[in-house]
Amino acid sequence: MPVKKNILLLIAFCFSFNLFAQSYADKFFNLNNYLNQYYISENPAFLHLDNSDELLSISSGYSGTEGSFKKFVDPGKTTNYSLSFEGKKTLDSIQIFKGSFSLSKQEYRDWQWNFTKYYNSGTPFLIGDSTRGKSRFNGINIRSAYNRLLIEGLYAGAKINYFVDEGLKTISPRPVSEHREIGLTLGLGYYLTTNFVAGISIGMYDNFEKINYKEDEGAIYQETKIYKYSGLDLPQILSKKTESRYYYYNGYKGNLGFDFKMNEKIKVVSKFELENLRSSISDGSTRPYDVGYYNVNNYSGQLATVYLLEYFSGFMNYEYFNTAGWAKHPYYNILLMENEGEHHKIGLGCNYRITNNLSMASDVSYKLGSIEYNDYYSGLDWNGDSNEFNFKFGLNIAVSSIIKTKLIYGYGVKKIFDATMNYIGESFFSSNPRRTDALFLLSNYSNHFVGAEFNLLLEKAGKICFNINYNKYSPDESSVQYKNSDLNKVELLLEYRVNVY
Amino acid sequence: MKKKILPIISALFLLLINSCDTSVAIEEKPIDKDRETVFKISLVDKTGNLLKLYGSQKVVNTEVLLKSNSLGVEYKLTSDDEGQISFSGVPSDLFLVSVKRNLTREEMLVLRGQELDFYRLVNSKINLIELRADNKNVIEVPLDTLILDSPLKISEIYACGPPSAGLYFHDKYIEIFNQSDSTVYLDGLLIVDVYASSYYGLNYIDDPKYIHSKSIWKFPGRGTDYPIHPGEFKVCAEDGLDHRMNAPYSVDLSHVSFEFYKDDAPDVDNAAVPNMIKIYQSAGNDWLIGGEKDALVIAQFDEDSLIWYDDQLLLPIKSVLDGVEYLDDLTKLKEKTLTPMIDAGATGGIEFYTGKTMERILINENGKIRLKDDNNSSFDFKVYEHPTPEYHSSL
Repeated sequence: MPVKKNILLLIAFCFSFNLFAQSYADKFFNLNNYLNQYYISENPAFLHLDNSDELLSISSGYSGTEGSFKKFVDPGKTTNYSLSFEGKKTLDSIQIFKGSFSLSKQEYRDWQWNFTKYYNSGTPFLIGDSTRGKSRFNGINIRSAYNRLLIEGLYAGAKINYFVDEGLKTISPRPVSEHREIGLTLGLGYYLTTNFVAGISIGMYDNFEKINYKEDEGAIYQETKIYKYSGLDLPQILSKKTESRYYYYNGYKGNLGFDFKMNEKIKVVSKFELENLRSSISDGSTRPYDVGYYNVNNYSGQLATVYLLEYFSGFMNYEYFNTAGWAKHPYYNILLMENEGEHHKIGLGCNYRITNNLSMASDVSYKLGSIEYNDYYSGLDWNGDSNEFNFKFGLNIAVSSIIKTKLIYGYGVKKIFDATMNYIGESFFSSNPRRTDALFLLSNYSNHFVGAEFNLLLEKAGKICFNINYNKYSPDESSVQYKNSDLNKVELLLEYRVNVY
Repeated sequence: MKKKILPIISALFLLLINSCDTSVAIEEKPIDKDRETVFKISLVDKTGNLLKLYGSQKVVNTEVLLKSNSLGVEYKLTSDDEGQISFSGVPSDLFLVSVKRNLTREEMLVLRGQELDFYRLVNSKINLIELRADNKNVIEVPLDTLILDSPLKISEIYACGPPSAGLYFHDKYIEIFNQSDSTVYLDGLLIVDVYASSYYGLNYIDDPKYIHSKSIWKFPGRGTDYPIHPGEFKVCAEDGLDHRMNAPYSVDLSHVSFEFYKDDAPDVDNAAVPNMIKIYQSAGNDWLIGGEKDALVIAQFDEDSLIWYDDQLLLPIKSVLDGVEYLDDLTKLKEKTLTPMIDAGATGGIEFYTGKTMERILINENGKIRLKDDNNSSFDFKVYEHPTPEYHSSL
């Protein structure tokens, strides 16, 4: 192998990336290529079913969220920047390797009363302070996947994810944080026949967050309040300048999947997944003491089928997801909160090639969900059922042999019904802004989606791809809490792919 | 290449697994839910006074205050005819408990042969109870002490220093209030700073007889020189100056009743303000109390009878008229230094240089203005934004 190629391979290996990111537009128009165990079950043993080309990809991404239709603990504005390198290489007839490296910079603006980055994991144990301002996180992410044919029909694979970042709130009291996330998945895949495939994988991840409040110069001129939450209400409000929090987060996942090809026209894929996530939190730098324990069990299943003709393909998809979480007091054997949610989702889609240069795709889905939340610590509970309807339509246009574009428009609406909310906390609904963390989940809303992808094929010079996705969420006009508010999400990705091997 | 890739990946896996800090153990899901347990408290008189009066130890129809310093919630409950209290909807935590059973003049006539005011039964030994949803046993709170309420109260302590003035801290003061119906004289009374040292690991909270101190000052006068009239406030300032000259958000203390002047140090003396008399202060150029945490008591005791213990002076607890402790972190009552017999809780939670003050809560008791005193600063005091020397923020 020439030296140049070795170096590039080394870069792809050590500084790898984004294989793991899929173009939404590509998946929308070529869903058939994504209906297999590699994508459905994320089983690395099926890396050979990854449909990306053996190219080195360099991409620059931006995503941002802004708007007031959000939970209280969500930042008012988020921006994420990333620079990624990704490569895939078939090492020989029985081994494939794929790797990525990315640099990321995240900014959370107008983030109030919270500095816990894992606040959306469901844990009620959060820590923050009384100042409102910008926080930034700079990190790196390394991912790689590898599979190998062990014996005839039997594949083994592994993938790893390693992420670290450092965070800083840029105004007093200037807390700092460190995050480290490690994920490892091992999988086996077996072809019982050419038409029937079974896969099994197990995964574990280990995340760690450390937050440090130290006395800074600003503390002389400004009072600092540190907030510690164990529920939506009754935060501990401390007049102190120093604190340390350690957040340990472990997850284990088991997955079983089957692909069945009935004939050349019909294929069925399925997966069943169990997941356990648990976290323990402690405070104090010299003598750490327990703050709480949080546990979540998830189980899910998916069954999808595709019907293929020369110009037409049709899809049908069913998904089920169930989650149940609970939190325990650090010293007493009592429940502080528990929640349960589930949804059923049915989707239908089709893809029709009108001419060689023009095709269309559409899908429609319906989701029936329910959520029940009991915050015993705060004396608060709520529950509700929801209907969610989504529709998308897109055109895939080859403008010329070197310029190709995909355009998608989508509309969705979510309606809550049979919702109730009860509380005994005296002041919860009059003075606690975190009431919106509950109300947000029980809000009706609609959303518009626009997505576009532009590809420029430069033959030997590679391929340039530009992706843009825009989502706008608008709460129901009758919403008292979120009147005249909305939430806008933008994702941009500029990618250059080149064959360097 | 094929041979190289497997060892590299294996090494990477091992490296990553070694990076894992802690494995979170699986815990069982608890059965009991917070706030859903019915707690039961039983009030029992252990002094024998109620047994003598009514033939029963039950403390009936008596108000109980519960407060969690860490959660900031407070509950006021009343015992029933059996001396019991049942309640629910309360989060699990350690709660300060304060029970005060006032004895009437008629009851004191039976007990002591005289119609006496200001006597009451209190819980001095058990003043912290654990309410936890997984424990449904009845919690007994004994009323074990009969006390005579002092007419003099520490009504305010301002200690943190003003904002926007760098490290300026010379405007500290302690304020005393007379809540009796008659004039009382301050002459000779002591102001004592309770000593403890986290550096040396010294804390005398468990000493059953004495308060340990390295800073004791005395009011001037020969017995009747410095009266404090009913409803009057008197401030003893670190320096009796208009501190707004040095710190714009500070306070004018140039006309207060007393100041601490340390004549063996480069201290400032305002000739118009009577000086407190230093009995003992081992260090510092001025009377100095902690900005965020400390404990102060006022006492009536002959200075010549104070006992030396190493480099400390010992003051008998029984001579204490009132005492207050303040802490920087109100959730850490285990760091208290003042015996619960004097103050079972703590006020504060104030940071340095914020200009905040701790003031005793004003209550209206049968038409009379009183300052709250349950011998528990967690219940009795409130933090205000600005100091109020020689007046109360509620008046």
